[in-house]
Amino acid sequence: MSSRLRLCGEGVASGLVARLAALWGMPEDNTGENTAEKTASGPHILVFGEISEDNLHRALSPPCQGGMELKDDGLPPLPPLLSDLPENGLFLSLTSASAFSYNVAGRVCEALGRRLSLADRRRQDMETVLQEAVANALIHGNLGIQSLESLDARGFVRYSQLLSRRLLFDEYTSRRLHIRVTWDDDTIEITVADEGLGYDIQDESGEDASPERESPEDILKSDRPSGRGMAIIRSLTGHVEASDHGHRLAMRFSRTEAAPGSQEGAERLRDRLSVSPGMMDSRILVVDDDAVVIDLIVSYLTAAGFRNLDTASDGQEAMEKVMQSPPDLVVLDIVMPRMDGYEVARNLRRIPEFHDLPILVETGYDNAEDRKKAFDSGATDLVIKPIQKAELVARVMVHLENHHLIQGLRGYHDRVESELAFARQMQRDLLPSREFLERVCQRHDVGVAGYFEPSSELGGDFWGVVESRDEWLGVYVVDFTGHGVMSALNTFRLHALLSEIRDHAADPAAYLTALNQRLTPLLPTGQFATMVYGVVDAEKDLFTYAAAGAPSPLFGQVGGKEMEFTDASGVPLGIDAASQYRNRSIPLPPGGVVFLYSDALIESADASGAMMEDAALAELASRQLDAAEPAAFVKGVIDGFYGHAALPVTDDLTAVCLIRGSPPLPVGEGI
Amino acid sequence: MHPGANCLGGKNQVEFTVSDKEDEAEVKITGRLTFAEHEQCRRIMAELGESSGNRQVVDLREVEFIDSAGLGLLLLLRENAEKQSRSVVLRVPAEGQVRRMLDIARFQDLIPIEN
Repeated sequence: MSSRLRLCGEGVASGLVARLAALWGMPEDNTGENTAEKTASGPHILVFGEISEDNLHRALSPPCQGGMELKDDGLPPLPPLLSDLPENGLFLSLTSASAFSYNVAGRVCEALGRRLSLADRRRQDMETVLQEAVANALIHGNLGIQSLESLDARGFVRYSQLLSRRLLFDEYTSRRLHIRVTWDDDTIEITVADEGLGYDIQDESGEDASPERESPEDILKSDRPSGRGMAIIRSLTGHVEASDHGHRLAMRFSRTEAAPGSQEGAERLRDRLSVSPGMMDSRILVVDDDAVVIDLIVSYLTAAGFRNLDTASDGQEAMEKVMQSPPDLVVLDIVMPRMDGYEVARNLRRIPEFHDLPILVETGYDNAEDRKKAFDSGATDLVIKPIQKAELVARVMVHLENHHLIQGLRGYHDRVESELAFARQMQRDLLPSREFLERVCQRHDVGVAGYFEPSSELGGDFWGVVESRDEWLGVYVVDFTGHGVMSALNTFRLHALLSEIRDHAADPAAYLTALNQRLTPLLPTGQFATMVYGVVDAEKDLFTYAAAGAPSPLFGQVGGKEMEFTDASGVPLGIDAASQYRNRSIPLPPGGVVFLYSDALIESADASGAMMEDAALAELASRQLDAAEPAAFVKGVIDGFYGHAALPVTDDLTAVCLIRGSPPLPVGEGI
Repeated sequence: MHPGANCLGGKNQVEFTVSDKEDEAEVKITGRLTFAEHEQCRRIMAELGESSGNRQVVDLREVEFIDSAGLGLLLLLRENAEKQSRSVVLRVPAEGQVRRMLDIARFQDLIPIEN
């Protein structure tokens, strides 16, 4: 096993990950504070104890290259599909039980679509194929259920009952499903493997050795309904291959051949914004049964500069040419032998790929009835016979421009959407994981819980915990000016710096001073951050903190009556590289409570426009002092806040509570 | 098992409602119609079988994703209806994965599609 990939665990005892790492000959990652930090340092395989949408997403998002669900049934051997996973690869291994309950094909193809900026259509086709392969591996492979001989209602009910029954037995459901995706510039290969009984592709008698299962080869030939899955796979992939006694099915796709989508769309958009040199290369198909008319139209278009023209002399031939090589625009006659223009238009519109294809219908009879019929059949526009050169060229240009613009915008929009979703997830990944908090809190005998809610799609807030193993534990809340993409980028910048200068973290003032020095040159003028960072000193029963213009922290005592504000003034980070910060201390004996928050908590108006005053916040927080554990404390404050604020809150909202000596019941985010 | 849960206790990814009118029964399906939803498929079959009217409409316009098992269900619905001398029509989305699957499998030759 190459040491390029490292293992890291999420919700799994670290001893278990270490043993797995040893067994697989793969290094374990012990660096970093939490899963997000670890995985940010290079390619990983994420080992998770419990499947969740979050874990699936994390495992399939860069720089992770995949995930493995670990069950308490001992350590699984290194899956063959993982053993030589290349850099351009993804791997996922789940139990059948999990693969049945989650949309695995969808998640894998989403992840792939994001990584490779695949066109929607391409991603959709791959999902369709992967879904069939997964179903085949799970049902016929791992659950050992034969394909339906014939499709009738009684047969289906029996099959469904058998499926439900097998899903109750660990023997079947603990068998794994493995998916591996690899790619290069031209192709994508998806391999699906199961752990069922398999069958012999060719035993001595030349027959299927195990009647338990139908071979993919058989299914490929089959016209029966049960073979539709394979028929679908075959019709959407360039290449299918079964191997390893039927345990493996590999499918290959071309990356490029597809409908215009995100990547191509964005390129077209760029073309459009310049002088659009691509326009004259547009493929135009001219369909007419009259050779003279064809010559005429072709000569007009050629004279106008179009150089990618093709012709067809009837509807049937037009459909064949369209299927061979999709045009960017069609000029279509109505009255033709074999298939008339109305039918061609209707047929084309039935194919999703050609929904937006401009179809210009020539018509000799300029009457309302024909025009209506042409539009009803799907024509984009009409060209009236006898054909005028100027009119024809003008209409062709207009519709090509629209077509390209729409395709481009659609692709661009899709790409921005998927990138934003990815950024959102990355931002959530900055927050401490539950596993990390539990571990750290136990070590330092404190409880920490936080709440984070970005106001728009991306936020400028985040919070976190740092520690030195045996000595101290620190907690911070950061709030960048504004929210949205710029602020989110800044949070990534700051988060990277935070780990870079960890050596200073024992001394809050030195930490903030060093952070500010490094952050200031990186930030454009006008962007800055407020931050408060404090360290628990268990020996002296103190909370020592430094602040850069953050809202005043509240402190108090579990079971006490009142929370009090403490000063957090200071120059915000990123304004002046020479700013100096100083340490302040407040008493924090066992049972001591510290509450940190972003200014949204005191600057969000209620329905009447009034802000929650400091005093009201102190009162709200004081009411939570009965809660001996931080998650309940934070929840109490947030609930109280939402009772006050007029929704939606217009800024990011972060709140963190630390209690000394409280049972460690942390909550990562979004209580 | 309570309704609305699949055999593993997870949430169903497909939901359906049957509205039974005088001469026509309509089933509206939403979500992902896939192999994992065989129990829901049985319920759809059973409910449509008990409906009245000469015509059954299967509305797939809000189905996000369909696989070959989902296509199988459609064929079963047609077969059941034919046994009762009833007809089935599909309402399908104009584009997207479902439309593409039906096109690939040439479903328009098997079950009439109503636009």
